[in-house]
Amino acid sequence: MRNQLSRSLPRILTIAVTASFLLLSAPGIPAQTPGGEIPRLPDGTPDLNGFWQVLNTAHWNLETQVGGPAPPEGLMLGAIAAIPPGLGVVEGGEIPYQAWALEKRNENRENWTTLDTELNCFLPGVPRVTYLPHPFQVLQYKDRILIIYQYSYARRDIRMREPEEFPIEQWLGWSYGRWEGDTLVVDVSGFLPASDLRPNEPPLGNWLDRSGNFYSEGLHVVERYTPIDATHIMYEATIEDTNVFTRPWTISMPLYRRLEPNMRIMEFKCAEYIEEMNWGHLRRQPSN
Amino acid sequence: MFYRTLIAGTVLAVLVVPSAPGVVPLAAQAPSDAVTAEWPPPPTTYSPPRTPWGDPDLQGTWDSLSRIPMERQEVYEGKPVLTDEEWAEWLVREPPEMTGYNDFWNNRDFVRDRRTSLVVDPPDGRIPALTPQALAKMDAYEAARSAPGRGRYDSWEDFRTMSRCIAAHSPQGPMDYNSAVLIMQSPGWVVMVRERLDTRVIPLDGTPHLDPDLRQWNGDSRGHWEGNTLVIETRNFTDKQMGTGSRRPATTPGASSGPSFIKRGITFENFHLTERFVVVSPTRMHYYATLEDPTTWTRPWTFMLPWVKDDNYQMLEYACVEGDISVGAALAGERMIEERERAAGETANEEQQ
Repeated sequence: MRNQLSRSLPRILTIAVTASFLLLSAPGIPAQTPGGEIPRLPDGTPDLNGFWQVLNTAHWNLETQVGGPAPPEGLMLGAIAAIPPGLGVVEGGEIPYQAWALEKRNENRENWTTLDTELNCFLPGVPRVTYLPHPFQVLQYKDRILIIYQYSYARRDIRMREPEEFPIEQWLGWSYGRWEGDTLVVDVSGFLPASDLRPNEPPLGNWLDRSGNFYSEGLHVVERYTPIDATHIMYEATIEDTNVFTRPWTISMPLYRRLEPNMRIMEFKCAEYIEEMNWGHLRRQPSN
Repeated sequence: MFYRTLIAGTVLAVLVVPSAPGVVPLAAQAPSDAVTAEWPPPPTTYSPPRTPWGDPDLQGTWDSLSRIPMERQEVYEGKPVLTDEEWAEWLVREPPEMTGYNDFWNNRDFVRDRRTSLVVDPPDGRIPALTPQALAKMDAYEAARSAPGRGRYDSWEDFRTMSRCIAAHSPQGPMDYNSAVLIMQSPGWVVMVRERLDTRVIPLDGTPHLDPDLRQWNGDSRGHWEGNTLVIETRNFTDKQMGTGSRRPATTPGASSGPSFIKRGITFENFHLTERFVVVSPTRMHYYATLEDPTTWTRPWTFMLPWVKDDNYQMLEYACVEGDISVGAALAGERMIEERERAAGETANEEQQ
């Protein structure tokens, strides 16, 4: 008995330590961090104004991935274009796809270098726009919170009121926000399915990362932005889409405040960067 | 659903649609309908509300839909502002309603202003003469475009930047549609969300401009307050940004896309732009843009475009590259025509032999 206990003690300890670590790092639970008090507006609302960015591999893959070489298109860039490893951000580890959708995801993954909408500088949906490898700026005022993303011309106008019937589908959907304590909760729906532009092809949906994870126009996202100190926000997004998944599922990750004194959003006008790729073969060749 | 909601988005926002030319349905923006063409802007007695951190509060959605021509037509020489009678005549001759193919989308209320030109300086309402250097640049551009072996669309670079979904332009001139700007502020920042493509993020903290080697489509902007007036200075434009206007004076009202008040072949790299935002009433702002470039114009010049606040204006997502097939299709078409001509030439040669 005693032997058994001493043998399992390290395991119990490990579980306890892991559990407390998980508890501490769980979204919504303020951890002890050295980042200072949450800044607040005069009315006591957390002040989210400023520049934020995600620091992980969610833009590559929401699930855990190991490192690997670049796809054939990027091989000549060697280690520079190689794919970095990273731990996943999906609660429970795996995205709960319906069987057909998992097959489709895997098919997407095999062909990602031709199918991913990011390739063509298309607007992402939510939450992908949050964890693209670019900073974004939050401006918060009265009944509206504006987020300007550096990627392309992505921007979101979050109205601080009850969700309304959306007038037209948009790539970035329609965002309605409210405060629950110190948490900004944003309800997003009204997404445009990318398939509208490819009427002769099966519905494509839009993508969640570069690894083929996707959603349909039935997407409904609830985002939660919980400041945990002056320089960190815990970001959580619950993703619901009965066309594609068996149940709602959640991702979470910290947003880091960009502290550089000269920080700002610059132009990343990717429409220009894809022209040679898409139209290079249509350039007039000098006649002989 | 689609139609109903689009109407809600684009037309219902301003339901005051003129029923006939000559009717001036102007409930919302009645004050200071007639504007004098003074430059520099006279001090305004109106004091806008303040943000909690003490800056003048310009926030909200502003529209600048305008049918006032950039330059004064000859018939109005010496007349910066129309009389009641002339205004009535103008409404018949240049009805503020659009007459284009896409009327339905455009038929909104235009910002009324009885001036005969947007240009307020020089006082003759005309854009100053181009320098010999600028004229040579335009000639060189035209010559290159019409050189033997040069087609209409050799590459995507032969399309304006709006068609390529890259950028609109600064300064923002008159437009026939999608002309709104949402202004948002936070301490040290002002953001201008343009309905068409661009979001301008402007620091107010006195930091210096970017290194002159760093060029952007909309340049590099820095703002500051002069009393209640927001002043934004912009430089570091890229030389890829180019005017789209013809050689004729810009006396035609409206402009669908592109900086048509700047001539084709004139590029932006030496532009020094100063914009002044003067709020004159709770619903009206005067936007002054001064362009200075001694390599292009013989003197600096300024236009003023009135903006009207309209918080019911529903800006929709301006997805552009996502639905663009025009540039690729036009290039493919040109290459197809060239191939046909080449094949026809070969056949003709064979017949001769």
